Amino acid sequence: MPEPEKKAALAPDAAAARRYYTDGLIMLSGPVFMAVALYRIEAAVLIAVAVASAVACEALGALLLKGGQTTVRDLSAVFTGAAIALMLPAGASPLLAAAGSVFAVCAAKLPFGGAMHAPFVPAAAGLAFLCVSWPQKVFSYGGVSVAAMLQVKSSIRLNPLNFFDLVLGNYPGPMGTGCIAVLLACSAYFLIRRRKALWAPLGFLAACAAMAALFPRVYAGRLTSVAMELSSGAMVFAAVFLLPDPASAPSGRASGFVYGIFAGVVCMLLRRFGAAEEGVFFAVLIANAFSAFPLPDIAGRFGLRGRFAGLAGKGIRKGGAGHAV
Amino acid sequence: MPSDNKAAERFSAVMLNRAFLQNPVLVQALGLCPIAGGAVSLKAGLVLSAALTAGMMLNLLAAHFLLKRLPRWLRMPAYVLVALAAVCPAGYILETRAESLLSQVGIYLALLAVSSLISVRSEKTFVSCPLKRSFYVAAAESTGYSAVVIAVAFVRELAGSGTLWGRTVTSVYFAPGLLLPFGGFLALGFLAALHRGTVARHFVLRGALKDITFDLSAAAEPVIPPPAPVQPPLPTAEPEAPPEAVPETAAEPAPAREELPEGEPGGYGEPEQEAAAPDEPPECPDGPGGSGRGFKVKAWEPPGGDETETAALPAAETDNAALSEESDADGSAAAPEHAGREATDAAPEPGEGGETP
Repeated sequence: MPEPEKKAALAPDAAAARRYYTDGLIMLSGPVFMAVALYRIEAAVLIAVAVASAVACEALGALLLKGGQTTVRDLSAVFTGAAIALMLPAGASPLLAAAGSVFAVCAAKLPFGGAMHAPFVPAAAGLAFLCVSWPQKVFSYGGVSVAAMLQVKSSIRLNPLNFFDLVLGNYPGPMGTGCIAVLLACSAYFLIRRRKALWAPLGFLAACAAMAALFPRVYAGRLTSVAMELSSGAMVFAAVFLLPDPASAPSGRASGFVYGIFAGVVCMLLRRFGAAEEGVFFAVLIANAFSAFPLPDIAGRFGLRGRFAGLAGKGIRKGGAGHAV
Repeated sequence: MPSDNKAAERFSAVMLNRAFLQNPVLVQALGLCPIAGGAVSLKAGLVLSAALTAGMMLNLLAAHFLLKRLPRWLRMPAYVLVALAAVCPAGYILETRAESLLSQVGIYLALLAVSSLISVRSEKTFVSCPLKRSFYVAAAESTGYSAVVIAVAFVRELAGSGTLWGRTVTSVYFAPGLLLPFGGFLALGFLAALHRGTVARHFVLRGALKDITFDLSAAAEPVIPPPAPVQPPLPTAEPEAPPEAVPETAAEPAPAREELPEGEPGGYGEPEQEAAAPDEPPECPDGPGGSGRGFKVKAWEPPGGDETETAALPAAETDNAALSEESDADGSAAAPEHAGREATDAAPEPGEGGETP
């Protein structure tokens, strides 16, 4: 006699994902509020379309691939759509946001078995796809952004920049990534819920700051260079929301820190030598590809195994044991 | 004529097996680079497929009539030179008549000369198998490759440029990023997944496709050793009809278990066949036994099998042991997969085995 169908409870992976992405959505509420407050209906439409596209693709994919067992309840699609929308300019077409969400879910998430098994951050993959396909639309902010100023090695514009402008996001840029104060406040949530997840962003920002200080692209002083680099584009946003992805980031503190440093160095190199003014999305993807690098094995060959005893590899695929979700 | 019907059936069986079930791109992962990099439009896809087909046929003739006499270490670069004889004229024609098309395919046209598909097929099949058999295989694999190239090129041109055959279809809804190589790999990946799902649904490949899943975290289900059908002892045995109701594609007697070839690399984990001696041409993997991979193609059956398969299970274990002794160490896991397969490409006539150039 067939067993009666039980109401599908979330699998352990899905439950862990739901916990993580619930926290992520709580943290995203700050940038979402700021974006809607600044850009009104345009921002709301963009975010709604991106989220709806991601959820629709996730539901359709789950229906086709998993025989109806939905993974929408883990909220990863909502998080991905919102993150993609917040990294776009407010004047972007909703189709652009939809295209990014569709790519993120259909190419970077579903084929790998869901959010907790994807080796690459879906939101970063979606943004990278948009950057490659429509760079003019992704980087058009209705004004000169700080990233564009850095690309032409200029720290002077019509209205002088000051640190308050940089911290509060009072300059053209992606609609959800400009207000550094809000992002840092949201990241304080990590201190309460996921302290281990802070190491990768700390390493990332430390590496970016060091690169900006050592190799400034503007000649207004090293402090100005650091302030401009950290507040430009989606750097802090990516550090807080994309880098600590549990499926792709290493699980240990030291390994997370090293992972963040690697991503930061790559990001600064791409910003300096890349074609686009923003390279953080590609840096996150490259870091994801290297996050399974067997550092303990290599360290052991050089007699450094003891120093890296705390390193742990990336834990994906078998339960996504990246962080203590 | 009965012989014509048999030849047509053999060709159709080889075509189905080689072009679809064991598609050289989607299953064996051969020749990926030109597709990912060069198939950005329908015209470019046609150029690539034509150049590969020409290179394959030239290599077939050269390998069968000339190159089999060379030592192996000399044969491999010779395949490249022969393929260049097809690729270079194609490049020259494009340069004189369609320079824009040449800039689309770029270096990938020249890379066809060193395509793994041509080299592998030439070494595994063309030097050792009869000419007719080799032609069937070359035609089938060229068709399979061309189908994939054209499908990928169609999708990428439509979605990446908004055009089709150079004519604008849409000026708004297209993503130029898909024209980059990563778009080609994406298209190939999705096509391979679609192919795998189709094969799993509509064809029974005993014990070969148990691990199909899009969820990489799930452990692959173990390959269940399939029950072996009853096999006649020797190739000289009289032809007998297969026990199950299958399409009449194999009229010739199925070979003895010991003579079933071990198959060719790629696809579903079959072992690589090593040459008997370093310089000797390898034994034809598609020998008198038939297809080489021994797939049995029939309509999908619900799980449960039939009594014939169940009754043959004890014999399969002995046959599996015999097969595993013959196979490589790496291929030992694939031995049970062979046990349940029968030749579906009809075996050549007894006289064909002695065919000489």
